[in-house]
Order: sequence, then C-alpha cells, then structure tokens
Amino acid sequence: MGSSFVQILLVVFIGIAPALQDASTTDPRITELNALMQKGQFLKVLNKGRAILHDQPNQPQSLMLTGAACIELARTIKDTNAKHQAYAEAENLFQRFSLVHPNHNNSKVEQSLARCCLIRKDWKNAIQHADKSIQLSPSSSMAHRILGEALTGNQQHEKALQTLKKALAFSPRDTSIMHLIQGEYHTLRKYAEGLSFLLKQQDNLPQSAQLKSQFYNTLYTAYISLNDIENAQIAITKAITLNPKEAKFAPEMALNLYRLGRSEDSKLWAEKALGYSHLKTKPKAICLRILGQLLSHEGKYQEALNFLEKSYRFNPQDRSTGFAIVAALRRTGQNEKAKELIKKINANHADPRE
Amino acid sequence: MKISCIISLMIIIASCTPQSEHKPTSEVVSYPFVVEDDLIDFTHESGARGLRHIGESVGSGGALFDADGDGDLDLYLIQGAAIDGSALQGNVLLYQHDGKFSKSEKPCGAEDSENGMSCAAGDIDNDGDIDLYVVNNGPDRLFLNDGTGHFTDVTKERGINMPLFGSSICFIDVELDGDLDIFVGHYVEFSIDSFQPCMREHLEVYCAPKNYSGIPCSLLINDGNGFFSDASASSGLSAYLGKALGVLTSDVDNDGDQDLYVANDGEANFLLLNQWKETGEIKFIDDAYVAGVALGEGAKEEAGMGVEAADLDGDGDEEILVTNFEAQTNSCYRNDGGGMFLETSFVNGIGPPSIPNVAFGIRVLDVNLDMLPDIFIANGHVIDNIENFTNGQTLFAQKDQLFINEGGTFKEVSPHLPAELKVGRALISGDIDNDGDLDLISTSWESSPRVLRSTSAGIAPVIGIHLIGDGVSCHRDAIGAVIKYKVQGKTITREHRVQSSYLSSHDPRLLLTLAPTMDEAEVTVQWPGGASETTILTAGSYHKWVMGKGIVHQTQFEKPIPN
Repeated sequence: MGSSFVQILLVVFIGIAPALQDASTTDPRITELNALMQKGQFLKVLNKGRAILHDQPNQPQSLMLTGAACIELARTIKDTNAKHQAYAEAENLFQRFSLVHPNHNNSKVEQSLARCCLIRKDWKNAIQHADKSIQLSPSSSMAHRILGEALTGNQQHEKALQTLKKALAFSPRDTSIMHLIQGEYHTLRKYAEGLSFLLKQQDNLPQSAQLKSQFYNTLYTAYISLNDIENAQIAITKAITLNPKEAKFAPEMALNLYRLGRSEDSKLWAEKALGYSHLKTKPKAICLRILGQLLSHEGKYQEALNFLEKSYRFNPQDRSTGFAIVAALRRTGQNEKAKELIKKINANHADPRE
Repeated sequence: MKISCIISLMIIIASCTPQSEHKPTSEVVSYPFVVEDDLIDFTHESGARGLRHIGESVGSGGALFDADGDGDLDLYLIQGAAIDGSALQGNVLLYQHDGKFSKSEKPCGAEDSENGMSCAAGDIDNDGDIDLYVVNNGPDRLFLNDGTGHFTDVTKERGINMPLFGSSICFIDVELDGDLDIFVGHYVEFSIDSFQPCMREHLEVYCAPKNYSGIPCSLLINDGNGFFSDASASSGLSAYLGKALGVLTSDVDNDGDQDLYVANDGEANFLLLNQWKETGEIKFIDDAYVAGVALGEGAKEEAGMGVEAADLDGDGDEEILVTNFEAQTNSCYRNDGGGMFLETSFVNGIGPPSIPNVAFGIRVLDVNLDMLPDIFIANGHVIDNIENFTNGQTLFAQKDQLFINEGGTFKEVSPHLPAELKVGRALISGDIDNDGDLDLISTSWESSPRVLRSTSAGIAPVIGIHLIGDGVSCHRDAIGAVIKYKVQGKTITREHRVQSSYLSSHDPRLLLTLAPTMDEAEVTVQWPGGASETTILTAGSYHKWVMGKGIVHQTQFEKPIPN
C-alpha cells in the first residue's frame, strides 16, 4: 500500500512542474530537472535542485521537483531518522513554495504538505492541508484519501471511514483505498460491515492481477476478523493464485493452514515462504515458529528448538514463540533455562493480574 | 411432556447428473442425543433489567444428584436475581418423576434467593446423604440434607462467611483426612455504586472482565465434623488474583493428592499444585506457566470459562480442556507427563470449529460407546445484543458442538437434530433415565434448561459404578479416586470428580465402556489416600462400591427409552 501510494505521488509531482508556467521554464537547468524527474533519477534531481535553490532559493519549479525527489528517495531509506529528515526537507521545500506563492491554488501542493505531516504523525496539520486540498480539488480521490489517513491517525475513525469512502467513489477500483476502508471497519469493530463492504467491491476490481491479489489479501483479513478461517483460506488462496510471487501472502497461507489443522500443507507453505529472499523479519519469524510448533506436536523437541530459537531472535516480542521454546526446553531437560525464559517473557509483558 | 423424537433420518440422495442412472441411495443418520426442551419446570432469571451488570451475563448452573435417596437423579438449579430486589425466585430442587423434573409441593429448604451462580453436591458431613454448597454473587450458603431431600441452611454455624462474587466450586479433600474441603472460584470485584456502562457502536453492552479487578479463590477446610475454617490466606491462594469461572480437581503431578486447575476469564489460568504430600502443609503453588497450561493458543490470556479433564489419548494421564471466547480456540492441553502440557487445539481438530463460538459448558463422555472419550460443548454469547454488531452473523444463542474422538484427533458432528438455539451455560451430566448412558442437561440464559438424552444405551456393554468412601480415611464422595480397567489389552484410566464443566455438579456415578465382545471387566479403584481394591464387575448394572466392603448393591440398568 505504501509503495503504491508513493508511486501515485510521483505522478502528482511530475504533473506539478509543467503547471507552473513562469519565466524560469525557459531555464535549461529546470528543463533538465524535469527530464531527470521523468526518468526517475531522483538523486540527480535532488542534487541539481539543491544547487538551483542555492542560487535561487525561491525558484518555484525547483522547490516542487526537489521536494518530490526528496519524497521519492525518502521511501527507499531504511534508517528511520534519515527517512524522516528526507521528508522534513521535502516539507520545508513545499512550505517555502507556499510562502512564496500564498495564493497558489494548487491542490497537489497541499496534498504533498499533508503527506509530509502524516509521516511525522502531525495529524492536525495533515488534516488542515488535506482539507485545503479538497477545497481546491473537491473531486480528488488522493486528497480525500490523505484526509482519511490523517483522520485515522487522529483517532476520528467514523469520519475517516466516510472520507475514505468518498476517496473510493472518485477512484472506485483503487484496492489500496478498499484496504484502508477495511482497516477502519476493523478499528471500529464493525467486522461484518467491513466484510459486506468488501464483498460488494468484488465486481469492481482492477484488471491487474497484482492489485486484485491485494484485494483478496484484504478480504482474507476481513474473514479472519470474523473468525471465519474457512473463507479466509479461500481468499488467501485466491490472492496467491493471482500473485504467486508476493512474499507476504505465503506466511499468511502457512498460518491459516496451521489454524485449520492442515499441518503438512502449513509446513510446505512456511518452508516456501522462507525461500523468499525479501521476506520481512516478522513473517519470517512466524514461519519459523510454525515449523517449530509442528515439530513440537510431533515430539521432535530438539529439532523444534532450532526453529523456535531462530524465530525468537527475529521477533523477541512474540510470546507464542517464547512459550513454545519453554515447552521444548522442558522436554529436553533444560528446566532452569525454561523457568528463566518464563520470567523474561512475563517481565516484558504487562500481566493484567499484576 | 415427553417428546417422542425421531433420531433416524432417512436421506434420499438422488443423482442429478443426467448421464447417470437414477440410483437412489439411502443413508441412516443417527444422532447421539435427543433434545427434550420441556422436561424441566424452571426458567432462568438473569436479573437483567437493562443496566447490563456483568454478573447477569454469566449464570447460572446446577447439580444432578439423588437428593431423596430414591435411586434416581434430581436436579437442583441455581437462579439469578435482579439487583433491585425484584424477581427473587430462588433456587429450586426438582424431583424426577417419569422423566420429568418438577417441584415438590413442600419447600426443600434450599430455596436460596441470593443472586446465584453455581453449586456443588457432596456429602460434606459424611453422614451418607448429599449436601449442597451454593455459590452466589453475594453470600454463599451451605445446606445440609437430612437424608430425605430436606435441607437446612447451616452457613453461619458451620463457620462459612463468603460474601464475594463467586463463580464455580469444587469439593476436594486437600489434606487427605477423609472429609471434603471446599474450593470456591471468585470472579470479579463489582460494585453497583461505581458501575460505568460500556458502549459499543453507541449501544450499551456487557462490560468485559478487564474492566474490573479480580479476586483470589478461597479454600474452606473441613475439621472433620462439617465445620469450616477459611484457609485462603494461609494456603497461599490469596496471592493469586484471578477471575475464575471454571475450576476442577485433578492429581496433575501424580503425587497422590488433589491439585486444582482454574480457568480465568481474560487472564492466565492457574494450576494450583497441592503441597500436602510434599510438605504436610495446606499450601498451593501456581505452576501453570511452567506446566504450559496458563495461556491459550498463541500464548494469549484467554477468556477461560468451563474446564474439564480426561485421558483423551489413552496414555494414562489426563488432558485439560478449557472453553473460551470467540476468536479463541477451546484449549486442549495435552498431558505429556512429568507436569508438562502442550496446547494442541489447532492440530487435533478441536480448535478450528470452536473459533466462532463463545463456549461455556464442556463435558467429556463416551458418546458412541467406542471406549474413546468424546467432547460435548455448550455455546452461548455473553453480549445479548451481539447481533447488532455483526449483521446477524454472530448470534447470542449458539449451537451445541460435539467432537467425536477418532483416536487422537477429533471430528465435529451434529449432536442432535436441529433444535432451537439457546444461550448455553452450564453442562451437567448424569444418567437421568438409569439406562447406562450419560445424558446431559444444559442450562440456558433466561430460558429453560435443555435435556439432551443420550441414545447410545445398549450399543456396547457398559459397567456402572458408584464409589463410596469409608468416611474415615476417604470421604464418602471418593473425589480423586483413580479407576483403571483393561479392555483389549489396553488399560483405561479415569479420575473421579463430580464438579467440572461450567458451574456444574454432575451425577457422581461412573460409566465404563467395554469392548463389544466383553460382558465383564476387572476394575481397580485406587482410593484417595492410596488404598487399592480390585474386583470383577459385570456389564449392564450399576455397582455401589463401598471402600473396604466391595460391591454392596447392584442395580440393573433400565431399559432404554425408545426413540
């Protein structure tokens, strides 16, 4: 969802620059900046844009394109601080643009500012900018979507739900908005309404198998919310069939098969998921835990320990893995180690009875 | 009125494939239970008056026992009460006549009108009849039976002062001195004065237990004459703050004394190991985390309601079962010996079908008389207006579930013909018609209890046993006795308990299934305290087995009621 959103933003920014018609458009450096942006060479845009802004601090197209490049680069940065710095620079550039052009009437500038506010969880300013963006462009799906996300962050879930539904009305096949709407239904504990909403969208899906698969993944989570693991299995199977290369589906498949008691299938999918080189840490931990639990159920506790301990290293917050290790330790004669681990797990967990 | 119910349904399956020859086939579908909804003259009163106090949603239970000593089971049912003092109908003792349970014209003396939760039936004063301890959301009561089914309230004079919000109870001989002690589970600290309603989507709902503080369980020690002293603090139990709903006894560490398991609502469960054998002191230590029975699937504190223990896998030790809330599996803790358990609900077939339901009562019984213990579960939501939040997909009243043991894994089957859904709570077992199979009574929130009459009598040989302790070295109820018998070279082990499930006290008699070719079996009883007796018993009868005297009375099973 995050990456598709930034891709949409890129389109927004690319569209911004030509709209700013002033004398500087004839500046060859700006022309070059535009060309680099079109090619997706964001680092070059950033460096060259910074150089232009050094000479002409308020050059509008440079402000816009450099800001856009900042955001594009920010999304590839893993270090949180550095990522936030990049967004902060982008926000600064867009703010400067707004100061220079207080009457700019550019909805997309407000959207960009709102997005930067969202990143640093400044929900109130994000709402203000998104509201302004909607005033300037009332039928913008993106503006409504950003407002919806800001309202979500600000814990105004009912309002967020309605706003996201408006966003979907302007972009009815956008599966990422459907995902956000389902998230709101979930937060509001309106699980059945969430499912009902998604089922109505089934005839309105995009052609892209990848986007469709995202929808079925969302449908899977809706079924899980309603404790319907049988239909959840059908949904996640569809998602995987549509997009077999998507790494995040396989761990869910393994997990739900485990829930269904289909141990052998669960094991196969957990092993398959672990074969994905780009599988994130938490899903990796889940798959390792499943393999360890299955071995425990077979009484192979020493083998189970290998998987469980590896899983625990990836996700030391997971009590389920922690206690699975306790069980395996006890059965391999390591009672003291097991008791120490129980203390450690419970110390990290707020036991409601204490 | 006795319902004459059809339990065999002829299903004609006709092929719809045009190419295929029209070959109607028939299949006989038999149900293990017949639903009889109008045999019990009682309607549960929750006390709900629109304010949604938590206690209204979780009651109430009862006990099946022979109150008047006439050889058939009577039914004591617990009644709730409104907080405003109205509708104080009181508990009822219903006598069985021709299969129906109805009130006697004379008061029984145990018509307690507190806001009731559960009760335990047992011979507290070792005088040969069955007494009652009633657990209330308010002061508990102890009623002694005079042997004719007339009870006297002796709460105060016997030293009992238990005013807290109680839930389940079990009798236990903690220090193996031949009398019954009392273990009471307490739920939450609730005060009307500080009550704040809980909202969901602008509608008021029953608050979850997390909104309230827990209360430790209590232990009352019997001095041998039916007088009690409160040992909650000295036994260490006061240190364990829980929200108990289900409790049972089991010798988990196999040391010869009875331990306790407590299912807590929304918090980790307790496994309270009795230290009597080790130290000679009345002390309990919670070992649930180490043993692996504290948390549910996914290592979560689940909403424990009912509890049961039985040797599901035939290895001689007991698994522990706990019923839980929706979105949680009903837990099945496999006993691996040595005080080690492993939660197995997702791999043995019990877990997945339990996820959509809110489960309360649970009973392990051999439904199809194949010598493998099966599991019956009574479901019912706690949020009376749940349908408003789920587009009707989750209901307040929910279906019963039966899991048939297929030798290590379980398969859900329909327990009976489709019947009106009820909001299930307690699940009490007993051979109501004395025909040699185990019937069930499930209590229902604001409704009449349902009789689930077993249809299995006669399909396999069964031995009935009624164990009676000598009243000196072993209390007369013989709770904790271990029964072993051999079938086809395999030893089947049962631990005797009377209270388990949810708010339930069961028929104290045991039924042992034999292989179809057998008509007798050698049965060994190891009485609490360690004495052991062995005898050969024939199928088809109940045997009253008195410790030190052997079989003193034998009663043939009644003919099964035609279905």
